[in-house]
Amino acid sequence: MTISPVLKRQRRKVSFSVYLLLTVLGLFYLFPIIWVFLSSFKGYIELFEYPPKFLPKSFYPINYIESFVKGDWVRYFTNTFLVTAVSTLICVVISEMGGYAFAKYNFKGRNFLFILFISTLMLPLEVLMIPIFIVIKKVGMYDSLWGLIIPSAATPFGIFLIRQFYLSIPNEYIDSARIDGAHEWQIFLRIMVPLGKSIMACLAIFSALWRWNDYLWPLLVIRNDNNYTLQLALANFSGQYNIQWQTIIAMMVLSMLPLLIIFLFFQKQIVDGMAMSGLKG
Amino acid sequence: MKKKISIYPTEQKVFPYLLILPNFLIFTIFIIIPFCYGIVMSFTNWKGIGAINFTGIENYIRIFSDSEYWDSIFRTLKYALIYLPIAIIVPLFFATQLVKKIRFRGIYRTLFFWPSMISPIVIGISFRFIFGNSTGCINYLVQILGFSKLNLMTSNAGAIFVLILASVWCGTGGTMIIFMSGLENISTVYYEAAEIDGATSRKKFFYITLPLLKPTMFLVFITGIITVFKTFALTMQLTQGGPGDATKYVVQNIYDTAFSKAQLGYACTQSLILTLIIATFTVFQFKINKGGAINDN
Amino acid sequence: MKKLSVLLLIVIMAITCVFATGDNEKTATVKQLDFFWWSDGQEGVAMQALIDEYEQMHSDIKINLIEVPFADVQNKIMMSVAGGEAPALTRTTEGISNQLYEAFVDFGEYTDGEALKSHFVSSIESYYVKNDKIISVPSDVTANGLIVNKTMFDKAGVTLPSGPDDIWTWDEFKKALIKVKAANNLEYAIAIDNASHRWSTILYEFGGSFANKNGGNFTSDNSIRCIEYTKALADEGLFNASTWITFEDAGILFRSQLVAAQICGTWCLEPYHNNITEFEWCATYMPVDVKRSSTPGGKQFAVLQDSGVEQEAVDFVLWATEKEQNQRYCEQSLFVSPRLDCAELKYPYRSSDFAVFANELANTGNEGAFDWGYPGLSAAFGVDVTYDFPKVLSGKMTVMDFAEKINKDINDFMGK
Repeated sequence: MTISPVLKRQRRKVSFSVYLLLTVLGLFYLFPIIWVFLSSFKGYIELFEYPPKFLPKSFYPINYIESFVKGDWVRYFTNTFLVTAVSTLICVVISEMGGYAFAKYNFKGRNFLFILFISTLMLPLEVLMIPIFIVIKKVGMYDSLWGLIIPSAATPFGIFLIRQFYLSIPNEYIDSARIDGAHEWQIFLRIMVPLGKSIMACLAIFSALWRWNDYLWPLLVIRNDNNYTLQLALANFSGQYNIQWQTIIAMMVLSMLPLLIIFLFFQKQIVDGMAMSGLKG
Repeated sequence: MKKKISIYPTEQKVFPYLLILPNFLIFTIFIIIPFCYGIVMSFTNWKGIGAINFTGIENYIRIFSDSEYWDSIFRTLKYALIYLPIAIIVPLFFATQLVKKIRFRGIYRTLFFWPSMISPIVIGISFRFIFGNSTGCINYLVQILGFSKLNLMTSNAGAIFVLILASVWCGTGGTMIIFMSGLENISTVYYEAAEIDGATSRKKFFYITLPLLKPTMFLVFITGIITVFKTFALTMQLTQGGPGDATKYVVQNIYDTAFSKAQLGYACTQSLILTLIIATFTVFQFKINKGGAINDN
Repeated sequence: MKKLSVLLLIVIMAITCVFATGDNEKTATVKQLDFFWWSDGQEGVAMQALIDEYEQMHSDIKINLIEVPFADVQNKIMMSVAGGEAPALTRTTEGISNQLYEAFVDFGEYTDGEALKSHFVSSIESYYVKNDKIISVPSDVTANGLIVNKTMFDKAGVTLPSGPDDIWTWDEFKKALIKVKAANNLEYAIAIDNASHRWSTILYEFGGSFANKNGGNFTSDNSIRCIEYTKALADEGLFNASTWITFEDAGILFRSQLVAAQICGTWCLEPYHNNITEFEWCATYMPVDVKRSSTPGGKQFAVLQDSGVEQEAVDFVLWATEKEQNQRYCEQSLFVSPRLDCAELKYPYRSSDFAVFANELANTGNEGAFDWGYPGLSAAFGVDVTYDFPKVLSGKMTVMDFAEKINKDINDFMGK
């Protein structure tokens, strides 16, 4: 992909002061993360000793080893991964469909439905735990991973995100395709979806992040230990009086790795995956 | 503008409904139906267990004189006014710099996004490590240097400061990639035309980038407001609403009412009123911004 | 590439289907009992041992210990009951029982209630008996008390009470704290876990209480005196109020030697024994003002209604709380037993400290049991105490306003 002359000139214009600012801020952002990572090697007393020490006494991964026997982590990681992968897939697909519809079609009830969707982003779901549980039970998704996958796949945020994207795509695309005799679904699948690759990647990152770190839905839906996800399993280490920080921190560090990989993969799609050729024509 | 130029007019009418169907189905079953239950519960004094007693509009009358509730809403609003500008400008800055082909941009992007991947419980403990009153490193360093302790977390302003810091820290990443996506979507054609006209980068930013970023900005603003009002997990881990109730925002108030005070029915009333307020605001924003659409030019 | 990703997706969905349906093997002859549980230390292991033994004796019963995060036990039970998926049994505290007792089975319908009650310490009766129904059976009892950093106290030349006949008054204790603070160069001398349950120990020692059968008692002279005394402790730099204002963990302060004393409870003995190596510590007698007091706590086992296996669950609970089983359970988990006939348990360590707590418990009146055991009462005032007491300590609210507000909460609730 050739870099347009505009971008080349922009590159030279990024000054040293910007680099400095980015680096300094980057270090601030990094600091707590490094602390978390180093803390995963500290024992229970070491974690909270005063005066506070940054480095652990030793880098022997005792927390990781001890924590591993405290639960069926392979199972929990697998469950979390499955839920995240499938839910993200469904979320991206149906949000893409819905967002495009809200952006490019003027159908009856469109504005009302959209406002309704967005307003429910506002609902504190904790208060509705009991009714949601009853519904989950009635549709037969209780204690099943599907109960984690399906309900959270329809996120108003997803529709909102996709809609805003398609709002900025000129309608000429659609009009000219219609004149050429294309079916609606052809316009959608052959023109609009490829255009939206970057925003779908963006949504995929969010969805993956939310499903991976989700606590409320697993608490609601899951009963059997076999179906536990990571966050749910970790929450059991917060007892009434004691929180087993060593296990929680160690497992959180481990759980960051898959998320990091997902992010690295998709962020490239966001920025480098844009095909702008059609607009230049 | 919406001329029916398709040669399949029925298809054009029906297609959007098909598109929104999956979403609508899931949404109705798992959100709308519980929401309706919630509306019914708001007319009771149910504790969550035991008998359900309908109390008519008693809850709704009560909420008008519930000073704690309205205090928490105004508190949340004040917090939003301080937090939102920061939560928009910082990620925007990162995004504008990191879509350019600068060196190490991949590393920077990952650095700024990484905090978003960390769950609130770990954020809470790591920020307490830094800012904790008795055991935090900042106070330790300050005392070594001979000064008296900074009572950050015990003062209202300090606690809000720490909370904003933590929220920006873990919220930037997400907003940043939304902006990145929006920026990438702006055709270089516009920039090239401006270059030819001799525009400076500042002019380009304010006259091309920002206006064309309108849909994205609208999204960020609305979801930002909603996220602020839903600030719960992070505050619970960081300050638990303290000191006093300086950081006790509206969702925590509702949660306490529902579960700690065992007044689930009334908490539903509170949630409903909150949703109505946000919905009204959203409708208003929608109308004046035309839903974030860019006008044809 | 496209075909590969489609294939991959199909494989993932297939695996999900297999995993998602979960383990649903329920044979008709074996009864499954779900037991909601949370652990702080070894009690989960101890309970599992009891369960294994019981299952061996009853081959048609299978008990599943289901770990639930403590903060969400109440919510989870409410949801499960409303959705018709109530577990068979649950571990519970007096706080949880306060909210959920209407969904619990009355043991009095299955066995001789009076005989059952007679086995247990009387001060916790209101924790497991609501409206004359025995809604749970006690499994262990906790007591609040004072734990001190002996090394620091020795350095300051302060001798601890030698026995129950040598109890110090609050004023004497305060002087001791001043000495300890100075000798060890501390910023604060004492930390108290929280403003409600833990602090109420002091309230009862001053002769006050949150409520009594006539309604709110928080504006009584003794109660006001106690609030003011606590505020003075904070103002004079003895009590680290930041634990209440910023919800810092008092245990961390004690373990890091930032304070020399902590008001906590019997649950601290095991983790402190396992983790504190840098200084000597021990439990000692709480000071007295008008009277001695601790605040009882503890856990119980409850059986839920409408689970279909109530009889089997009741049988298990009654067996698990019998003398022999309870003794083993408490010794293994390092708990104090609620049974009168298990007063002398053999702990592997720290038996003198356990004895101090047991003595405190034996010298406790009924105020605590009323405040924390009256059905639903603690929910009415608990939240406001937690958020408003810090305001009093930082001077943002007057003592009288605070007391009147809490009193109003209580009176509104009790309908007085």
